[in-house]
Amino acid sequence: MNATPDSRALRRRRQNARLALLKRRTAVASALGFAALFGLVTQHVVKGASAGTAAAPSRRSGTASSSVPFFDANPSGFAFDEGSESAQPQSGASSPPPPVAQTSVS
Amino acid sequence: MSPELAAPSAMGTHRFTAMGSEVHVLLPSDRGDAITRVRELFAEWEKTLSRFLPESELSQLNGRMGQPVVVTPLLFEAIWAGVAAARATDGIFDPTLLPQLRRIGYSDSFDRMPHSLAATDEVPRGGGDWRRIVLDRNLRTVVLPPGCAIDLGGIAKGMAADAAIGLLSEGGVRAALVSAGGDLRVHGLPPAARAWRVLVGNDPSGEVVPLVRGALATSGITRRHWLQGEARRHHLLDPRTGDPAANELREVTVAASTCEVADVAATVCFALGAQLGRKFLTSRRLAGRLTHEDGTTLTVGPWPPVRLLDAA
Repeated sequence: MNATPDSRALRRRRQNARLALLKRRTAVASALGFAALFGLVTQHVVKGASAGTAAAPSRRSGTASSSVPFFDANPSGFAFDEGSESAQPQSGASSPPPPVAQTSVS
Repeated sequence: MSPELAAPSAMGTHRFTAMGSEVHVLLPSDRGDAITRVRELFAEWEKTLSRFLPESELSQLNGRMGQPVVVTPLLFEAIWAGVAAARATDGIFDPTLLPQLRRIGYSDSFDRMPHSLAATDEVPRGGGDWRRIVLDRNLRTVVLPPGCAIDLGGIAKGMAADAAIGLLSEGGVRAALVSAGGDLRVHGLPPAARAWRVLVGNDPSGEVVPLVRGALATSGITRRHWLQGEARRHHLLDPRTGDPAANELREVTVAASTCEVADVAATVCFALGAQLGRKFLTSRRLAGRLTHEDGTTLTVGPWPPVRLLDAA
């Protein structure tokens, strides 16, 4: 039995429709696949970061934080009197009064 | 020979022994009562932080490696400061060199220990155990790794001097000076004076500097040294080797805002030697005086110029 032009056209339209549906399903499946993969990767990263936070001892339970500078950034924390130079005490009328204290070798 | 020292007018001198050193305090004559609280403070710090007292909290902690130990706020803060100083100096300051000090015979207070010891076969090892100490500020716990033992030595003495000045300041004392061993801190100015005239180092005819504010710390090997076999030993170790620092320096004095910082900087500078020590002080914007073995000196930063009286 020979197909009529109408039936051929109908079959072609059905094939095209199936093909289009298949393409849409493939696209959706791909999108879902990528989304799932992205989700897994994201979850892995988050878990890793969480684990890192728990293990990092330097925030809450670690050695002294390096974020706190030990040495002064402010040099004005100490000062000498620029008007009276340091001196080496020696005997004589011009000798200054004795020192008031000593920073002896520890 | 002790140098001649004279208290400024209207100020009184107070002396006592604590933390292995003579503590020297200058207070206004009408506030001599404040010395009681300073004495109590040093007694408390020594009882907590001395490595020479078996019953001290530090000694107890040193005997409990590998387990979390809840400590007092004072011990926690002192260890925290020591570790912070070690971190800031990349380990050239090291609060965990007690095993190395014991190896070279420094196992008791310097005044009690013998100054001529038998040689040791034990091989030196470098420091760095501080990197494995775990501190929990919330729980106030310390975990020392196996083999690690803490000696807070000079930094504890410096922190005690700082704390004493804080105590006096909060108590309304308008001017005070606290000197503990090599660590000295001032508060305010003596009556009718522009500065505190401080003799630097152990030489009675040495340099006197006019300190207005802040702290001075001196580290050197002229006092604490001894023989182990034929080896000359001293207490300033180089953490890179675990042996006493061996370089051209005899003494280092550093000026900083606090004794805590000045003490650490002087110790580090001594361990590094003159050239690197000078760079270290410059990079931290500190002032210092480095004395070589031959007696020549090198000053760093805004250290006051010396006026030679005989040349005037």
